[in-house]
Amino acid sequence: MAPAPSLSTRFFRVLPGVGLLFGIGLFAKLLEHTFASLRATYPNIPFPHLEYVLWAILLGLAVGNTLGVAPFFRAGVATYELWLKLGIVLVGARFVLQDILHIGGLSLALVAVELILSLSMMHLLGRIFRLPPKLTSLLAMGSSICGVTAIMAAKGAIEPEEEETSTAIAAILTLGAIALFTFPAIGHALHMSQQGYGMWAGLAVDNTAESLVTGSLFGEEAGRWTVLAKTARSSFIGFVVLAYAVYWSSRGLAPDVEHKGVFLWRKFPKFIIGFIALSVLATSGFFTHTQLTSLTNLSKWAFLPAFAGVGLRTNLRDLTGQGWRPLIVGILGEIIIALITLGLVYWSYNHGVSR
Amino acid sequence: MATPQVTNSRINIDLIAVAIALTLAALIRFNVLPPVGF
Repeated sequence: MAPAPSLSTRFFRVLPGVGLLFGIGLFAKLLEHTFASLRATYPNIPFPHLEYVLWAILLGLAVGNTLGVAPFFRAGVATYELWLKLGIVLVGARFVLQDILHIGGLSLALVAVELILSLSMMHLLGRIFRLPPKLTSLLAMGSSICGVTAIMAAKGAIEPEEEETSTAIAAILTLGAIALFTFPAIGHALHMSQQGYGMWAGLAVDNTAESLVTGSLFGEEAGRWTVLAKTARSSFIGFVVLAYAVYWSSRGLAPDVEHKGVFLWRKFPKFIIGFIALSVLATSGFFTHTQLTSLTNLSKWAFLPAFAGVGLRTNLRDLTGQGWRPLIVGILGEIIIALITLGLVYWSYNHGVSR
Repeated sequence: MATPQVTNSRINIDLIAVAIALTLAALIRFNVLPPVGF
């Protein structure tokens, strides 16, 4: 077996892709700035009014689906997840602990309802459309908690076929891509508040990256609320994956889970600890106002390559290449979940529980 | 259909992200890093 590459080798291997992520992100910022200047100079010409978030996604989509991502760049492009998590942890500094306890408590209640609905809905639809049971389990986990992360976490626990994992991931990513372009339009059409829309995007869009982008496309404040709702949702991952692992193990179709506490800890998304730690520090007055602004700006710098990465790795050909039944189940399930969570958010914010 | 490039190294990535974020926060808190704009 070949020895593992050294740290310096791995560092130089990711550099080109990281350069590509930041290059696309910076170009997106440049386009936003350029068109803003042009609109100010020539108010009669309808230049596009797009924020850097959307430019980054569109540029990433264009590059990824025309030129493709060359092997030279792939290791670095895969670091988009690190930038995403870094941005989320840094956003923690923008929430005082009271917000997290108050809104986080509301999020947890909404997440609990969303979880039960998603799991029941996907199993019902999976049965109606006669999907393989483990594929249905994967789709249910992906749609109820946090998309690809949940599916990958379940992979070792319930031992699905490789093809089932690929199909479930492709379906979840496809639905995330659709949400990017439909949710902001719906939010604007319904005149939703930044907070309400952000919570909705965090509850209804499955994959963390797509969820955050969908929230941020509506506005910076909405993006922060999306992070909070999505983080609350992600904290359930260990429990749901454990439940499925125990179920499939009891049927003799997956390995036994010996130490459930260790299993829960292993599956727990550790970035949530960092998010809460920064929030505690911010609440205790550890940072000045200027320093908090710097941390917020650093989180935006971290999200910039993450947004570009979402565009780059979204394969539009996968929209049709995965068979129609898992996609139909996914789409039907997601539409129903999106509508119900929209109703829940509306109801919650009309009954005096918003800040 | 190709499987998306997803690895199962979430825990490592999470911990690296937390370490970087806390380091940056400390550098900003103790004015080692100048104010950051965007």
